[in-house]
Amino acid sequence: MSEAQVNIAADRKPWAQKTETPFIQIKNISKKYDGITVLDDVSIDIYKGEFFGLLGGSGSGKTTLLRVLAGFEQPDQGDIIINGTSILNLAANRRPINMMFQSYALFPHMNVRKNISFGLEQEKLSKAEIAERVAHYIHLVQLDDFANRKPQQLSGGQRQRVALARCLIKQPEFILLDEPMAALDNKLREQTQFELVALQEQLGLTMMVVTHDQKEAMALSTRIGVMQAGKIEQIGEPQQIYNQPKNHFVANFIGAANFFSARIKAINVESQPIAIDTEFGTAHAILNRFSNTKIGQKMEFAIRPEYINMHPRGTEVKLADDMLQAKARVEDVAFRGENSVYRLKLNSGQTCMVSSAQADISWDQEISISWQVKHMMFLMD
Amino acid sequence: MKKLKFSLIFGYAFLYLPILVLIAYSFNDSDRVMLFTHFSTRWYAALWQDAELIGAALLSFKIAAISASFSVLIGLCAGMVLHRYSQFRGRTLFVGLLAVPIILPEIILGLCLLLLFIASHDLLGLPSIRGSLTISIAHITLALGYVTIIILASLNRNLQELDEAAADLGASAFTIFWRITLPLLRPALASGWLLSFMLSLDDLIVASFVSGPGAKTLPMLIFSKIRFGVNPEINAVSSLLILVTILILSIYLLFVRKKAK
Repeated sequence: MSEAQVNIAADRKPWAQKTETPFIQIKNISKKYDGITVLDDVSIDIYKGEFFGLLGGSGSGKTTLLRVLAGFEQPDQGDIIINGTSILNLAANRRPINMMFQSYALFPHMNVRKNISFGLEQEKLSKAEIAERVAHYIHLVQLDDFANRKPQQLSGGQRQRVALARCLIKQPEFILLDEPMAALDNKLREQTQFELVALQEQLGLTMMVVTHDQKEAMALSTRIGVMQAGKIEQIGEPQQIYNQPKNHFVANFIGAANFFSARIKAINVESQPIAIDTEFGTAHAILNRFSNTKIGQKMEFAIRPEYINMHPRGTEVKLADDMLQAKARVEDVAFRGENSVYRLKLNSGQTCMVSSAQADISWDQEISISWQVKHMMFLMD
Repeated sequence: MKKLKFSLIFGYAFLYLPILVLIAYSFNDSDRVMLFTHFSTRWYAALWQDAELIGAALLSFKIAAISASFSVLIGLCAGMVLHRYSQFRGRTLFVGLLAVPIILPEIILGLCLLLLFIASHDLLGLPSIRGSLTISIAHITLALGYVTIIILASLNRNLQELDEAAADLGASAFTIFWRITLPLLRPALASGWLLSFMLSLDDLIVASFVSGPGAKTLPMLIFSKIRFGVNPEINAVSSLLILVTILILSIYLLFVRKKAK
């Protein structure tokens, strides 16, 4: 709770250092319901002060993992360790974890103050201490004027703040947020995201947010874990997940991407980069993260819409060595405010999306596109 | 618009004309039921002198209160179990079985209960005498299905999530029940209580089967009296019974509406 929480995880990046011990260790958690695997060997390390984002579509198992952490479900296998101690055998009401429900689950028969104090009343604290702490947290979430109202008399944003205060007041080691912004409208969502991050950093909280909204996960998280079908596909910082997705699923799930096939042409051990054949020419790239590269191996590359440049025919610049290009025709333009999204038909027949703020290109125009090799994301499944 | 008005009047006349006739004749001064002479409240005054009638009314209220309270208590336990253990085999069957006493003709239910009481008297010597106790037990059987279904309907997913939230905040099972489940079930418990109170108060058939020589509920007394001809005093007591029923129904509806909000 000290204000001098200088070393916040977002700046320190403890996960990048081999010497750091994780504060929370989710170890090889598996769970089946009626023979269907919901969680498949999920392991995540979370560091103190981290805001971890768990991202996945519906049915990916993210909510089940949250319920396992909170203690509402027992896993079939695996362990959960907080600060060196396993909490697997603790019932939900004994775990140093608090959860904010997607529906907020505010007690409808209690007013704001009672909702917030409920958790503290379960601890052996004096009435005066409870009252003092409740007042502090009501003020923290700016609900001073609404303390005596019932949840039904509050707006969506206010309810969310009650739910948050109800979690925070227990000063848990670990806070779980289940789709915290799902019930808020867009404008409020953005503002609340900033407030939440500010609060998390100010109080030095360790949090995990579960969401299906990739923008929200990027905005909030120090690191993101992408889940699919009960498995963790990739864990990394938002930029890393966005710019170096591990496979097709992650590249497709986070942001928009155009996918093309590729093949390894030549591996020259002396110089690191590998030559990769694409339909647009040969690209040279370092593929250290793949262990099993061999000549002739089929792979894929993806490129984000914002990394593709468009040139009207006749204005093409001479290509640098590290660039590839293709010819295309503009099929459709969708104006998005800060930029426009162009749907192109490549001469080879594929469709390609480009986002750009360029004003001199419109429907049915024949153009050239180009991109830098360093923006090509090579994927192998 | 005119057609609508006509249908409305016709429909409600169908429902309420018999009741209004009864109430009107309860204010008839004449000794002969179907001859209206002039307005009087003397039959109501006469009620207060009729010890047998007052005794039967008190017994009816006592039985109704006891059976309503126990139906709610047992219904709460049954509802909690069916809600909490939503996975066990045969749960659907058990929920379905709740409806059986509701759809079973009362005359059959009365007969079943009578046979049960006779058998248990022969085997165990209990109940030693059929009377208010056996009627109360029978009325609990009659109402339990309704009450459990009402309570079960309130124990929905929403409430389960609130229970989980309370557990997450450190509350014990007892605290959760006492501070979350029970307060939120209050409307269902109240409406269940009122419903079974009314079922018990109105019941003639089941009570006639399981009662003994000593105990006569109000509906039983009214029924035995009209066998010797309808008496204006019966009109008066019936009117009062209608009043009580409407009162309870209004309270019940108030609870249901409050719950819906």
